Amino acid sequence: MARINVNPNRMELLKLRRRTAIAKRGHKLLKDKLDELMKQFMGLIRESGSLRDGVEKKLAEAYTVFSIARSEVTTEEVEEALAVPSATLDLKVKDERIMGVKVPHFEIEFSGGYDCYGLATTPMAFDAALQHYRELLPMLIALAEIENNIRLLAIEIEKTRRRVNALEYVLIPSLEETVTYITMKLDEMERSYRTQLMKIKSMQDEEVRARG
Amino acid sequence: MDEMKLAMIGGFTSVAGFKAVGVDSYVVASPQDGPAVWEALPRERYAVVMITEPVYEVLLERVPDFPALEDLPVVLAIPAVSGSIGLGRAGIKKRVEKALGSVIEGQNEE
Repeated sequence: MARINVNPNRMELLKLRRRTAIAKRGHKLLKDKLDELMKQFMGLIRESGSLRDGVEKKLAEAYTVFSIARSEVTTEEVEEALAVPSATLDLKVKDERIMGVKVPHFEIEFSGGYDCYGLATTPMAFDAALQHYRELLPMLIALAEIENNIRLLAIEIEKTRRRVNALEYVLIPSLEETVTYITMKLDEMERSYRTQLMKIKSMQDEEVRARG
Repeated sequence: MDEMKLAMIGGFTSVAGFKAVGVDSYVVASPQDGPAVWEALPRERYAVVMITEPVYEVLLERVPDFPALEDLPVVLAIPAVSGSIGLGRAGIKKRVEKALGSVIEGQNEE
């Protein structure tokens, strides 16, 4: 692992020790965050699975009812009937947060009836079909929201995992290695200083003895 | 809080019913027309765009960076009249795989 290029002195050693401690703490926090994200993520996935089942079943029903209604009139008549829908629909978008991840939350708002077509030219089944569609919409919106949350959480999980790995396998090892390096270098300097002292001392002693 | 709309792209039969309840509808004659309709869509107006699976499939292949990851509108693949081909589910499964790095078999199945 690459050692960080610093001067081996006591000042740097202290600094690096502090940095290692911080990095380790950050690593632990991020790891906890990852675990919690994962938990939320799995919950969302389960929820989205069952919701999608419900939506697809209901949608198939709506399509069937609509097809039956359609079969009683020509395509042109259907087009004409639906050309100017009087119903409007608004989506309110609010920001929510899951574990600090910003996710949009949708609320649906209907206004106006859907009786935009002549009652004489359209079959009764039409009304039933449209009722189906209207019931379906909130489910669809909920599904879109959950699937979007899954998407956003997945991105966040990936990011967090990358950070955790960078700390665990790159930053912390290299910090630790640098700390060892500086410690060893300092010890080495100390030893060489001591031998120097001993040498000087012995030279002095010899001189004293030679003088008699 | 913003007021936005809901749009849908798909074949006539799939879209018609939704149109009546107030969804902005964009009809494609065939899934191949999907990319052109997608490009022309005033996307900033919509919070959610529902796309039928056949069209979604073509868009996935032909439009780069589709669907956009973090911004609105949220794209939702729904089955067309012809029935579900499991695309929406597959998309989620792919995300799960990417996030977890692996998928434990059967975890996503019902």
